[in-house]
Amino acid sequence: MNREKESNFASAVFYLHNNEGQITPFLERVWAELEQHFKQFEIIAVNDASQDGSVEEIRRFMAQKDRAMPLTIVNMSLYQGVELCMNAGLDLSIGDFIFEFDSLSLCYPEGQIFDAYRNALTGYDIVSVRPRRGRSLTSRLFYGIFNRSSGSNYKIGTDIFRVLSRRALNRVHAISATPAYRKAAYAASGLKLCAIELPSSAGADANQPLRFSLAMNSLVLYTDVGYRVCAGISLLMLLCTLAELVYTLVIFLGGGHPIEGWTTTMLVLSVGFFGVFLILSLVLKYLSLVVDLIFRQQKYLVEGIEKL
Amino acid sequence: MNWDKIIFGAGLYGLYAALQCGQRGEKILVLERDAAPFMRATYINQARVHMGYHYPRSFSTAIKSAHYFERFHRDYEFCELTSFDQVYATSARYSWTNAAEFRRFCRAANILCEDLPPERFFNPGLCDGAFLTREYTYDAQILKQYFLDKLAPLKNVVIRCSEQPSEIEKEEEHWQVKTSKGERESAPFLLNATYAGVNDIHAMMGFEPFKIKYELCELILCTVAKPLENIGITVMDGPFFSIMPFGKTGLHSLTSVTFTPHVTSYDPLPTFDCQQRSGGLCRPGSLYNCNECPAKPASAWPYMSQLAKKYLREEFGFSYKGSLFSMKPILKASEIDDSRPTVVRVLSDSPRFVSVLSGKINTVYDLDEVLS
Repeated sequence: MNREKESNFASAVFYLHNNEGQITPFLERVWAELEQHFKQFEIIAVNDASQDGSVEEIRRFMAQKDRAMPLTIVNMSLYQGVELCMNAGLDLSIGDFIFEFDSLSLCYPEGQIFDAYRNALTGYDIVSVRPRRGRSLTSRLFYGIFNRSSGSNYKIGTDIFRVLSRRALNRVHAISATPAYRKAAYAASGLKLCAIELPSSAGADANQPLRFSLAMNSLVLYTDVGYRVCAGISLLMLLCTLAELVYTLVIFLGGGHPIEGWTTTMLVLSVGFFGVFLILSLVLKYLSLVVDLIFRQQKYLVEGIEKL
Repeated sequence: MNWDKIIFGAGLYGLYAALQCGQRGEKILVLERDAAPFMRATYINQARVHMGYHYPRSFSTAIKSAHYFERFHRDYEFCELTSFDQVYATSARYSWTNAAEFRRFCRAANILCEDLPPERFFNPGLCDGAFLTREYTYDAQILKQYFLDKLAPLKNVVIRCSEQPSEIEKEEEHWQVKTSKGERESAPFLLNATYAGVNDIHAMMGFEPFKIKYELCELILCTVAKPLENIGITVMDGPFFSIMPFGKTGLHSLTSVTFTPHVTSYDPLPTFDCQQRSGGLCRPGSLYNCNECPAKPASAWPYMSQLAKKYLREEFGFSYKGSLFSMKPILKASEIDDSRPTVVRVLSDSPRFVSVLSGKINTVYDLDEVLS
């Protein structure tokens, strides 16, 4: 194949945490594809405090390459998890297009990396490659809830890797400096996103168990699930106490004869709780506003402007 | 022949020393291995007249730079470009400093630092502060002409180019220097102002080498789009870049901390793979001019430009004009605090032998002390 190589600069950022066994085949695949298609590229390994020989494997790999392409290793001070690490790698990258590998899994056909890039060139700022079916029940549940309540047209899922344009990265940074959950931030960036689904569901995200606290944070930050659930419950309680108040009044006015002191106790209780739940609902509204104000630095998001 | 002083290296430090001593009537010989003065580091560097902004981690270097800045400006204003806005910015990520620290540092060093909105120059989120500062750039060619014009009428100062010492021996109160052209010269005072070649001379004379890390550096010359014409931009303090006017040439220089150094050597006499490809011109113990060398590396323009493009807003465009290569020695002790002390070391008293090593143009006055 004698095609002209792409003159866009490509960066590949990947996450490394005790992947001694996977690193060399992964690097070979990525290197080969990038070298075949791009005039210039760089690879950034974010080493999340690996304790095995992963870094030595990378050095060995680099030692046998004669072409000097910058491979940078970012060594994290202590274990910080994939989101923070990938943000560190992305911040260092200089490419026009950035390939993001959260895991070193190679469960996609050869040529897929460049295919995803070509897809990006057709007008997508973010292209994610994922298996057709999500894997575990919990992750399906999470993505189900997330996608239903995020308000974005784009559905997130268990990605194997992604391609981002520099524009997308700039946009995401303009919204918040360090996105808590990249996938959700991309989906919420308002830019065009496309997902390539692979036929098999094999091996996706082998080293990525769904992280509960991250999942909760993402739901709170990027969707209104939290607010809606809380508001629903407090509204329900509000209605209950209101019903109880009415019931108490009916008994009281209807001349019923409950145990002495019941009516006054119930009146105080229901009026008191009514007030408490009312205030809680208001506080929730305020809290959701505060999250919105702090977290979103930009008020509106445009995908692009078209003049006719 | 007998001289009062022999100076190795016709860079700024060498010619400054020659002029100072020549004007006092001393007999001075300057030996320069290249075909003309000012062909290496004096010419091939960012051409910054340092005010100290560069050293937020080394207060002492900053203060000293600021002090010498005014003096250099008074003495050599004719070769300076002063009519541009020098913008320093602190990168939001991976920086050893930040906007608040930088402000505090400038206040402490008493140097101008005016806040500018970072989004005027940079893509969102990349820099947390941008500052208008006062710093100039000098034109090495104009400076060279000044020195040559000043030295021309002095019959007691001789500059011999394409000639270098090949043997140096001590003979009572004198140094006997045999040159590459077979000449024999003698003086009671040797000044080693060869910068990257400093340890080559030490090795020849049997003195202990400076502890130096050598980097083969590339400076890229660019033509720039209108919005960038009267602006210099430096992103601090870490793996970033600088694009600023290059003297009065009308071009900008582009450098980056990660991509400007091509190869590195920690050997006392620097050893590089490219020396074998230089056709015998360069070897450990005798560094050739990297910019003239047939084995100079391929340009890192794709990387440097990409890095700058990532930070700069689109309207600040720039394009490739050419590359300049030179060897840069960095004192190992200064890596942590990034200080750039000017080292003037007297290695022998009688006969006198002095080595100078400085990465900054405006600390040339440090020489005065040893020349008197």
